[in-house]
Amino acid sequence: MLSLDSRPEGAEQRASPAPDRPDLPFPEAEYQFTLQNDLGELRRMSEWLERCGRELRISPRRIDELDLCANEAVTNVISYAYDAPGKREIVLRLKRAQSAGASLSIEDDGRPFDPTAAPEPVPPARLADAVIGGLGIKLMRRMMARCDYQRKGGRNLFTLVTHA
Amino acid sequence: MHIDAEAIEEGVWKIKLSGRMDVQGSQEIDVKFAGLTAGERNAIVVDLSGVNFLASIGIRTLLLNGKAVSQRGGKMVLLNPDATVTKALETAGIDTLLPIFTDLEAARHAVARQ
Repeated sequence: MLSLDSRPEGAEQRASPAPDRPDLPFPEAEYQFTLQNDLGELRRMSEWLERCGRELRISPRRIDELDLCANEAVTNVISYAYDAPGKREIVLRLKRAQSAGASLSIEDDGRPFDPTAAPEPVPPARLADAVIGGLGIKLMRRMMARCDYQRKGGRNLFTLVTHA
Repeated sequence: MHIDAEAIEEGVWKIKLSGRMDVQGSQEIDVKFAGLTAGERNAIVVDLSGVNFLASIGIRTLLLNGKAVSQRGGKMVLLNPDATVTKALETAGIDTLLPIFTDLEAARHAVARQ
């Protein structure tokens, strides 16, 4: 809720963002954002992602892909990760990846779930056979250069890495 | 999101969607969209040119409506998605089930009764 969100770590050593200076090295800042387990938070998350993505000089196309995949991953967490009702927090961290793309990690304290191991729906041959579900996982795996999962200290840590 | 429908010829409907088709956007149009693809409307062109974001929940909405039309022997196609939306449709493998057109006349022809 608080304005500490999205303040880049190490901001004091960092020059102001320069989206129009491709000759400068990529900003090294990492941006953090906390949202509650409420689907109504997704728009606020997307706005944060777009704003910080621009500051990190991530290309609009990669920001769009990351926005889509973050929507899918966080929707799954909010919809399926929690056994009991109640307020929970999901923490996102965005930074430039070494590959020159971007890396977004999503951390939650819900039940263990590895999106990289979940089965993908079989593509139906006909509309009548189309199974509705599992498309989010498919989109993330196909659109990202890498998806990594770790279970650490009772938390899920899912990391999406875009193409360069 | 916004949703509007107009008859572009006898028995052929164009449904225009605009806005962000994420969880919130899809919920905003779900009921009206289902109403517009129900009943006797069997030839439907869904104009996606005004949609700037499509998540799997929106793809689900498109599939459910396409399925309802097809189960009555009708046809639903998609018109003019932007590059980002096209990529989501193709990555999900949906473009084979709900064909994408970039030309209204070709889309109209594809859904009209022969």
